[in-house]
Amino acid sequence: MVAASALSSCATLPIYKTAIANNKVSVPVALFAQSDFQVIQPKDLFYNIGLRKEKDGSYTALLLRCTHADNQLIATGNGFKCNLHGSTFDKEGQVTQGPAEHSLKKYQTEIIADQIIIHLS
Amino acid sequence: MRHKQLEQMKRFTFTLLILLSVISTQLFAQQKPNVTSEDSLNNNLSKSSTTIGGYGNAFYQRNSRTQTATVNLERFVLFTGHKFNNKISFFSELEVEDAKVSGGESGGEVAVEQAYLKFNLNANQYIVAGLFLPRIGILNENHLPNTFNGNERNYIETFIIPSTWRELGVGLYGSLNNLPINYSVGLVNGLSSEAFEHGTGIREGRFEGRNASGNNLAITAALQFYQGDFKSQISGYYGGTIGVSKRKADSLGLQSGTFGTPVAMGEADVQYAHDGFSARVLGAIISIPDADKINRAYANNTPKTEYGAYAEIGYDLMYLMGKPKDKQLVVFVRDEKLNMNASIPSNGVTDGMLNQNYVVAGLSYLPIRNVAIKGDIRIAHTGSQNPDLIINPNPAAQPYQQNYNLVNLGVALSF
Repeated sequence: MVAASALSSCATLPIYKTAIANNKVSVPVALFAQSDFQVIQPKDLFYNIGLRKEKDGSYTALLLRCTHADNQLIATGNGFKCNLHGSTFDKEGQVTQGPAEHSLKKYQTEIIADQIIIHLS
Repeated sequence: MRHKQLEQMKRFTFTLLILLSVISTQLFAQQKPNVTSEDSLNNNLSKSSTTIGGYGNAFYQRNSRTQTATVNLERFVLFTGHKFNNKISFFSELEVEDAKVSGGESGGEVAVEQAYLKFNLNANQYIVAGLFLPRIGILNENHLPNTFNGNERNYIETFIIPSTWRELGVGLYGSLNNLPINYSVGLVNGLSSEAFEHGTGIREGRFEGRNASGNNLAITAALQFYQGDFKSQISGYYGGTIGVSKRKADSLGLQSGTFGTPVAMGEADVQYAHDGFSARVLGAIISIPDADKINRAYANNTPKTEYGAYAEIGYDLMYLMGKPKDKQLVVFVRDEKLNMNASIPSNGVTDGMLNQNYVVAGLSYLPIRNVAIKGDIRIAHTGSQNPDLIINPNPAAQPYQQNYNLVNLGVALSF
């Protein structure tokens, strides 16, 4: 069971690196064949994006930037954590431990052909 | 004459207007227009900004051994951070302990707890430079008082790992792209073994950013692993403790140099949280192989080995009652064991009082996440006092009590 859990954690890795074009990031739908969550790393953004596939087939994109002091968040097994002052967020981007008080910024997404488009503006 | 003055005034005004329009054109020209959408995006996210935050805690404590009680504003800390751009930020913490510092009176402290620049290499890696908290243990990095149970920080992360332990240096932090592992490595100034004090471990040997000796340095490193609801960490520290010149060190019989007369520390911890239940386990051990030489030079009863460990479980009763997630009522119990003189050199003195066991139990009520109202009792048991260390024997002083308790009631906050 421990090994299976470890493998499921690894299914969100490796981090998917991509470029930004016209304020948008394009991610292949095929990335979500084995996992409902992926970390996206747009070039030159300095923050990762957590992209999650919802049960209704839509996608939620969360900017992994702590809402307390703008520090980068790391993905944990059950959400996200800021190592600057210890704030944690659940997978939906809601605060689970302070000092952050606001939920994570969400980006609009749409599916075009076999690509998930994340609108970064 | 008057006509001439008027003409001169007109020429001067016209010249001034021309000059001003040239200057303003230059100023506007210095603002680069957005060239690409990436620039626009980065400009949206890279606005410089200054943030202010902080934390604090105060509590009443009743000591059954001394039959006294104290009420104290233990800490008030202000964070100030400034984001210059997406690549460079500054973070700081300014701490006041015990509310005030008055000249000539003991107690109280004003200290810079952190002050460092952060350089982002990319979204996953960054470098810090300045006064920072190495990643050792749990509390050293994440010590907000509303995030741990009990009014006091646990004693293992006070006297074995001397949190908050901050030194000057540089550090590299990162997350692997292919494995759920975070890493950190740091190079900081070393400790001062001359300042070690009997009864407080290596705590008094910290420089905390003030006039630290640069001859002796220390390396710290940590690995964190996240899996499901578990978070685990191992960390290590190795540093020299002699900052004086080689000539002076030789005269004291001490090994100087970058890692001379070293202190080595190892730590491991596991945390778990799921559906209102939380647990954490931590162990730390310190080795000071040249403790005999330190004792010979400074007579501060430095031990060869110290260790500590604790295990805590907690449960959020609000979760059981199906209450909103931002309210918590956590009942907890924690067992702490530490021995600050687990092994001593031949020229040391064993002190049973430094072999300590505690059971801490209590409640933490969080009406909102960033505020906690806490009540706890710390039941203490220590080893017996060494008769050779008794300065005021009974009846001049009360006999030492190996068993006592502390009752704590307090509040904590962060923002």
